[in-house]
Amino acid sequence: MTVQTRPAPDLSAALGAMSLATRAVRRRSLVVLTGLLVLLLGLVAARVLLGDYTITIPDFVRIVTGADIPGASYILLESKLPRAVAGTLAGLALGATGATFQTMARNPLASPDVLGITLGCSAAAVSAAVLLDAPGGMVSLAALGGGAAVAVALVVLSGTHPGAAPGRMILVGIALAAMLVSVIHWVLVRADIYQAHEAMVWLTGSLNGVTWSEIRLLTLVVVVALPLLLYVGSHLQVVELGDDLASGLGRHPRATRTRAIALVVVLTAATTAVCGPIAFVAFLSGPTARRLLRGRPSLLTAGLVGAVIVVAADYLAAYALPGNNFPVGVVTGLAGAPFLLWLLATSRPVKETA
Amino acid sequence: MTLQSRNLSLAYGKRVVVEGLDLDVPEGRVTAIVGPNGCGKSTALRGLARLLRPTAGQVLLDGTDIHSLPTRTVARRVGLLPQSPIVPEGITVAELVARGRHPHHGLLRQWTRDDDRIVAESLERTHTTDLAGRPVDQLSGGQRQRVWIAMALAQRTGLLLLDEPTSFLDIAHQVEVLDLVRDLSVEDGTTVVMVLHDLPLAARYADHLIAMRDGAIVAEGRPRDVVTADTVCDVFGITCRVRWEHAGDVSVIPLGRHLPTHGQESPEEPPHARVRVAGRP
Amino acid sequence: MTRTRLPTGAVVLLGVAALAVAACLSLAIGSRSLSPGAVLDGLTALVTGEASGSSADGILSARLDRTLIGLVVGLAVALSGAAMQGLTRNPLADPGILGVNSGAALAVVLGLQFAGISTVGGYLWLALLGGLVTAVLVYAVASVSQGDQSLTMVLTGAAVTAGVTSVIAGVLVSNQGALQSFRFWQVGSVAGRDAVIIADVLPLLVVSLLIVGLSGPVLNAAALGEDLERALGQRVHLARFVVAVGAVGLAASAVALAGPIAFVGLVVPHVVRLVTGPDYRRILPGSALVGPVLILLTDTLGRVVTPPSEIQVGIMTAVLGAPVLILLIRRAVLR
Repeated sequence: MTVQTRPAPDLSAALGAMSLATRAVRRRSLVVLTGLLVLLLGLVAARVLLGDYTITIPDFVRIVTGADIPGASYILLESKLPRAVAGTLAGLALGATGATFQTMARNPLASPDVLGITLGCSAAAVSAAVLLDAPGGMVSLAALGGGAAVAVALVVLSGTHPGAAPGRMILVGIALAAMLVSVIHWVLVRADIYQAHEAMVWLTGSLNGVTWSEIRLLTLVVVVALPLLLYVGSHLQVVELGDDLASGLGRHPRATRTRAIALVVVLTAATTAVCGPIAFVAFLSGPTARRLLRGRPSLLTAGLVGAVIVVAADYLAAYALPGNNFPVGVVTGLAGAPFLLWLLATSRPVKETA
Repeated sequence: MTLQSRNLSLAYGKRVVVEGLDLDVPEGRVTAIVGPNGCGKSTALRGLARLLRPTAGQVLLDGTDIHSLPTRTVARRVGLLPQSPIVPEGITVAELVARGRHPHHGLLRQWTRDDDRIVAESLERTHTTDLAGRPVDQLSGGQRQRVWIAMALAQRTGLLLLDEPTSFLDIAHQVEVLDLVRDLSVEDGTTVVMVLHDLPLAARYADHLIAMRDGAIVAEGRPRDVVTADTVCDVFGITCRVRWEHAGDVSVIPLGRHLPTHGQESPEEPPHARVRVAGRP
Repeated sequence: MTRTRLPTGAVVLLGVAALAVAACLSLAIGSRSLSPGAVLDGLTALVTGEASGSSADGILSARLDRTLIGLVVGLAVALSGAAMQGLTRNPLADPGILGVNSGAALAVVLGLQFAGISTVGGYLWLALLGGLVTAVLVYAVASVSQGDQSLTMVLTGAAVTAGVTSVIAGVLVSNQGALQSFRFWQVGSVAGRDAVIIADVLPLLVVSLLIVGLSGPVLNAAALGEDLERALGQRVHLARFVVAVGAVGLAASAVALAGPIAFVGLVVPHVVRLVTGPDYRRILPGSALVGPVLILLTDTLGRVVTPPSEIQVGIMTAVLGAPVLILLIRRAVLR
């Protein structure tokens, strides 16, 4: 299959135009990524050092390297630092998974939290924890099972995939969510008041009680699954051209989608098991990242946006109202709902293909 | 590189659309598949592009069953432009064309200078260099179609399958796209198979014409042999006058029920009677 | 598709009979089942005022309260759903899905937290206010949006619900007392209440019932679309607004009595429509019959599926109703 090329044409003009085109895009994404990283670092630093108990940088270094400063050590290692680390990890995972679904569906509304996958994880986890009194590991597994079950139910019950008919899938997701919410309510009634209170805090999405062993689990999952998701995401760039063209370019659209959904479920389940369902982060990150990049989707950028949102929201939740240590989900929920309403009010007809 | 089908049957669910198709795509030529709506021409093309698994028979790429080959291997040999590909939001022309290089990349084989050169060539070839930095969703229909063809070119395959590359284009853009297809065949020796609904355009631009009806081939061969009043009647079910002129110009004039059926053009013949046979609006 | 239509009289009779059977089942079945004879004896004793002194009396009077509340709630929720579906021309409309219930819930929680309101009569008006504000918000967002109307409306409802859930959670995590009452309220239950509370909601309930009950022609006109409606001489906006207030009033009454009950308002009108066809003058009375039947039957079922404990009617309707909603979504023109 020799492709006979004609006498080499002058390509300098085309190459020049290409590098011009890509340079602008690359510069933009570099600026955005750097900006987000700096912002995230700043927020994490603020989260760790400031607030109701200020820790100086030298103290911070001393504590982390092993010194024991009464009071400060405990607050840093048992509250501030784990919350900042868990918030960053959870935000990364939620942002990237949300953007994955939104890209697949070509619809900003189709994020795992709107579709009910997150609720599947929560309902299963809270049932396991309250009804079966299961230990942490089992709760994580239950979250995984619940999320996977909802993902499968979504695809089977809507009889479609996220790329084809996002509208129908979103509605099916809302139906499933309504059912899962009442399952959760039922579990809350079955629990005693202390369990119910603990479950309520967790169900709101909270970093308050994260332990280092939970963070280890979350780190492990994020370190393994997030790069895989970014890799599969590069295949999604081909799948988003339409199933036929994707097949023509040698990429099985179904298999690619299945892999992406599986990774999303794993990341969502791990995050939910540790921090609970932090409302709207998955939903908010994708469109925000897209706007920063002038309309171009990027999973990594969305992940960073997610981390920024969670860490900032946690700071607000913990310190905005003195004396109240709210779960982070209260803030993200309050901020996310108006944004969703605004997105709905300004939405154009949903573009769908059969 | 050869592409053939042997006794190929294709179905959507239980509905059989193509049955017992035997087809040999002539190498280095432009082949056009024509036929009325729902005759299975697009389905046949999707079958040739391995998008549909045959219910019987096979598609052979260089003598091997195309479904036994890894899909990425096929993608390096056969390019496909489906009827309605989706433009991702915000993507620029240069990026879209670059996605044509996808089958040539993997975990270990990343983007190289060669890829840059091939994309640049594809842009030049389709006269889309000036558009390189523009977002695709802001282009006109004709420009957009050229960009999609550029993407298929960047795939660097000796064989191109095009499903109605001229649909939704006005006549000037149709000619522009078909001229480009002709260039690819004449200058690069690329084998092209395309589905077209405009019979006269197909006859004008193809070396080889395949006329289908009800999922089977009715006639096949040089356009001059295929486009006759009899076959047009057979394939499209209309009575018409076919006039071949010098240099391969052909006009197909449907007669309809209300107009004189034979003899010279009557002076009262209204101007709109000279419509070409076109399957779709 | 032709459907052989039963004579109206027979259908009504069938509905009433079903209601009677459902009410009897609701009285007889439970953790301790009563024989039909015992139910009858107990009822006569209650009516004549001579208690026999047996333990069956206590059970029966509790079940009677529960059945009465179930009747009222089923009536209110089903009519509310039917009116909302008609007004919005959206087959997926229902006080739960459109967020009206959660708006009402938020108002109730805020009343509980900041004003110490904990009587039915007190939070009825809060529920009405919260429900109305949500309804206006959802309707406004959906009419401004150019996207698919049904989808937008449902999503707006979901967005409001999610936002409201966050506020409620913020209140509840810092107030264990409120959590204790609210978690039992939010499941949606007709059990453990004294039927006297019906008197508290009666004024709102009756007015709303009258409005919605007579709204058949308005809803029929709404089905034709706004332009045609105007051409037919309806005062579109005023009529619709009044009916909407009535629909929210019914939803608020039900919420005040039993907490949010999902999917009944959605499912009942669709079931009724199968028999009556698209005429709202028939759908409304049909829903008024079928709604209570559904509530009573699911509530009775909830008492026996996991003995010795009960599953509240709100949970039962959600678990049974979600598949119906999914069926409707698949059947709707939405892709």
